[in-house]
Amino acid sequence: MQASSSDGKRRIRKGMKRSATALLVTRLLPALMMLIAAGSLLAEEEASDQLKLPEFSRTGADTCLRCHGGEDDPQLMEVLHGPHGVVADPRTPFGSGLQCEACHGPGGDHTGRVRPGKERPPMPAFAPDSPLTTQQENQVCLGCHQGTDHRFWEGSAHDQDEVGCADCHQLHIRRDPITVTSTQSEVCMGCHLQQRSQFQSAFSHPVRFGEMACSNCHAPHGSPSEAMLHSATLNQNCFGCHAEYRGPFLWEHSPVAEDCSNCHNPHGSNHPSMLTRRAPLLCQQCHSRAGHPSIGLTPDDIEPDTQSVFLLAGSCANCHSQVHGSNHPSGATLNR
Amino acid sequence: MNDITPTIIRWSRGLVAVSLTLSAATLFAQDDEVQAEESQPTVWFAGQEIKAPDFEKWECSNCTFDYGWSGSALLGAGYTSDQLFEFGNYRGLDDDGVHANAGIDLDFRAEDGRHLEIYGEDLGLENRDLLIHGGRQGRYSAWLKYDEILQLRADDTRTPFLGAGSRSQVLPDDWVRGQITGDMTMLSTSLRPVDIRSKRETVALGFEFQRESPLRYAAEVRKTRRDGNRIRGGSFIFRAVQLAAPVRYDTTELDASVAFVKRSWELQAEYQLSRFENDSRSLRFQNPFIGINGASLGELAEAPDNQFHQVMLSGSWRPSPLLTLAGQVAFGRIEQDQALLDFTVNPNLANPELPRAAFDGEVDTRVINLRASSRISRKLSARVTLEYDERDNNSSQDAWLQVVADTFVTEPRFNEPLSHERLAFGAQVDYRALSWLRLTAAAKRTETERSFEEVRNADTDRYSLKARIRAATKLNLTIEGSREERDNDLDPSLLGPQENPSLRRFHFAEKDRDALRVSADYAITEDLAAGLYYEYADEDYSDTRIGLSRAKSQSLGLDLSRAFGDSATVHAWLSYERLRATIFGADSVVGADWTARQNDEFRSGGAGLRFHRLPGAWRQASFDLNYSDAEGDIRLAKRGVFDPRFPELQTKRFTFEASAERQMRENLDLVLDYLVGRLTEQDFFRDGIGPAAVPNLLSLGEATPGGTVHVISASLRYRFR
Repeated sequence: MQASSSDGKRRIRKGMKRSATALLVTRLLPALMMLIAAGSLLAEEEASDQLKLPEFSRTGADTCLRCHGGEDDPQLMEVLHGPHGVVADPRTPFGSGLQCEACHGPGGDHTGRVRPGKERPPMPAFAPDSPLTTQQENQVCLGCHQGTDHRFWEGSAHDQDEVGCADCHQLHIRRDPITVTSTQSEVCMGCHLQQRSQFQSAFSHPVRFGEMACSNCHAPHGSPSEAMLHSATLNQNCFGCHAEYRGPFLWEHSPVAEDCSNCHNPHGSNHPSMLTRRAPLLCQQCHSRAGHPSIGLTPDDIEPDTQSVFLLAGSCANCHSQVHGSNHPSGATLNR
Repeated sequence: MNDITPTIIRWSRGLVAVSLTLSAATLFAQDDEVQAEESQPTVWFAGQEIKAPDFEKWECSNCTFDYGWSGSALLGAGYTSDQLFEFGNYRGLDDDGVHANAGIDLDFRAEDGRHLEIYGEDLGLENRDLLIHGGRQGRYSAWLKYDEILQLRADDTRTPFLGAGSRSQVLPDDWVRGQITGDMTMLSTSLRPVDIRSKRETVALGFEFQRESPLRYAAEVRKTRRDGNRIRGGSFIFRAVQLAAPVRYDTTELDASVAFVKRSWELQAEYQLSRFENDSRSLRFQNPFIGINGASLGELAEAPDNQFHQVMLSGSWRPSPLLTLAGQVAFGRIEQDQALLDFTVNPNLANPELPRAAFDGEVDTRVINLRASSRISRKLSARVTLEYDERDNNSSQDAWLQVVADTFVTEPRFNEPLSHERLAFGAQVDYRALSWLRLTAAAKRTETERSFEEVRNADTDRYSLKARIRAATKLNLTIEGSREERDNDLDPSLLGPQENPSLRRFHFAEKDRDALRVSADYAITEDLAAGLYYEYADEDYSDTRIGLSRAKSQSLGLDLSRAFGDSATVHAWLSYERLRATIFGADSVVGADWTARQNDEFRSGGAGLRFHRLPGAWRQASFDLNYSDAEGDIRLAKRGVFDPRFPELQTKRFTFEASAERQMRENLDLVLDYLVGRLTEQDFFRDGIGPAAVPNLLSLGEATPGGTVHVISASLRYRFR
């Protein structure tokens, strides 16, 4: 297919610019303006919707440690040996002075006198029966952990599904499993059951071996790109480790240049190279030229003969091995 | 009246004066109160300002802050019973016999906030990881990471080529070429083993710097080397050879950013560089077959060196507690100008001058992802998104002579620098209709435009409705249905010569996709939880007469977990997935029609038991069992074909891991590990396909793996604080 690429590109740009401008003007901007107006007008309603919190405890952590962190739950003291326990850093609970109540909330009710027969009130946050909602608890964490990694949390898929920081992170522990490559996926797969199964496939990224973590590709704290990927696009994400396929090649293969997931399932598949289907059928979804590309190969072709080169071993890739693109001057058919 | 009115007026004036005075006093008092409140110390909690405690009494005298070094070091040995590449793949166990087992987990903390951690796993194996991370918390930090990933594909492969795995592969001097592999009389004696494996090593060095200001600086440099080989096919017109091609890839990446972070907004500017270098420009290989037109040598172009630069601006802004705007804008450029190979290495064929010495490849990328989310009220929230992705290929375009497989010359072809633009607009509304019911409706439209394709424009509309139901106190259900419709402006005349005009390429063909997902989470008791999901998707390419016509997927899974206080946890899971596809074809356009059906089924399950506390000297133990069973069924029905079913593809895998720790002395533990893995596989694509099995394919003879491997290890862990 020969075409004037510059005319084509100009046509594309003009058309897209018109379409993009129209979309922006007619849909996005009005929606955005309505959201901003609504958000501003209703801010007062939010102002009155404040948390009703008790007073703080009398002596802070010394109050808490009368009951917690002893022989029954010594692991709670690990928080003092980690980043949250650094007194010299004024941003931390034990640097800012709020100590345990920086995260768990004012503990005046929980640590105060309890009438006989009455239940001890829970701590406001991160405790059994805590009254704060998941999103309110998340605001506790985001109050300190703002910026950079968390700037896309609001509106992210995890935020929308009301996933709590404490659903994934553990603080009263020497090493948070989700921060370690070899143990992170176990935490994620507690909810992402389907992905746990997919990573058990015959061919997958080495997540189940602990050699890769979900966060090698995904940004669990949110990302504006699809599927919460780290990079701006899916292909950019893949090229981070597979830069040999970035090109651009003299002879390109269009499904590759556009989207790696056209042919691959990154979470795993039972076909080599995590392909969604085996060749030749994978290729025959898009190629049906007269001649060998269009021939439907049958079980008769398993019997080694001259036809079986199109089926067995690498199938189409026995000859067309440059399936991601070729930089050879004579490589138009991706076999050089 | 005259006597009363002045009195009333006097009293009224007095009342007004008193009222005004009282009002003023009240206002001042309120203002004083407000000032008094404002002057009281406050702190932030969960996004609101509250009265601070009396910190003078908060001494934390019972807080035991440990400074100095703490951690553990692990050293021991393991034994692997057998060599099985597929088992050792990614585990670093490429050989049977004894191996070292080592790990380290050290932490240093100083009172002034300085810290250093050293963490390493599998240090005795070829998939070792090491992290050294230190700094002064709240000020700066730096890190050094080292990571290995070992990929083992096959150790039963054989080749007659000398220099297998290098960029020049030649046949032995006494090689006898043949029209078919059966005629290669020296093949069997020339075969020598060549493992197909590669190792990826990554070193990363980074730092992050933050003074007492909103500015944060960060940078990381990563260098990855991938070394080894992989299987590549080289052809000579319907006769092919599998080669162990070299892999010597170096990728260097740099991410540098500066961020300005405030409470309600932040902005980050980032520069990203990725540079790929390939040690091999080409792979030359001798033709083991009798060549046509004197084609005795072939040359494959290796992946060219390339580089990618990108500048990204990203950030978020929260103008009110109810509205968040977030987004990223990125401009990038991919460049590739590797010197080109000749049209052919066959001296018997025309080899004119190249139109240009190097490709001069250049692709500009532009990406915009914007999102506005608003919690309009306690019940209602909304989100709008805009995604724009452009690949603007400005690479050179020329006419290139085509020498097919170094064998014969055919018509020149113009290369096609592919470009695409994608614009998507989405909106989502979330409404808590009742305390137990939350509804989410979403719509998204994606418009894609491409160059050099038979489809210039494709539009996709997706609609979904989700209900989250709190069916009972501890039972949450989620049901989501979605529909996707794609249209395009296909022009079949652009499909190209000799292509079937009924072909519809699936990645932009017209299609309808319906999907349903149901999931449930049930906290049966405080210690027992269950999860269940079911997903169904049906893609119908109704306009397709040649190509992918239908694709369906179904999956379901069940998960149970139980905690026994804080002393033990047990979990179990089962899942099933089925993928079906129907592909239509026709032999050479006007020949026999055929229909292929591919059906993949996958069953997997596992169970695990962890003891966090054990009686006596045993500290902890864990047991994990995983099982997976995959079947692939391919049928191709065509006129005159008696049995359209191919042999079933099968993979069965079972692993069991056990680990236990026993305290030997105060700081010393004995760690025992056991791993057994069993694999069986049937794959007609590879089984029995020895180097000479196929007349016109000299294969590497890769067979499907199978076997059982046991790994035991014993180590000592020294803990200190």
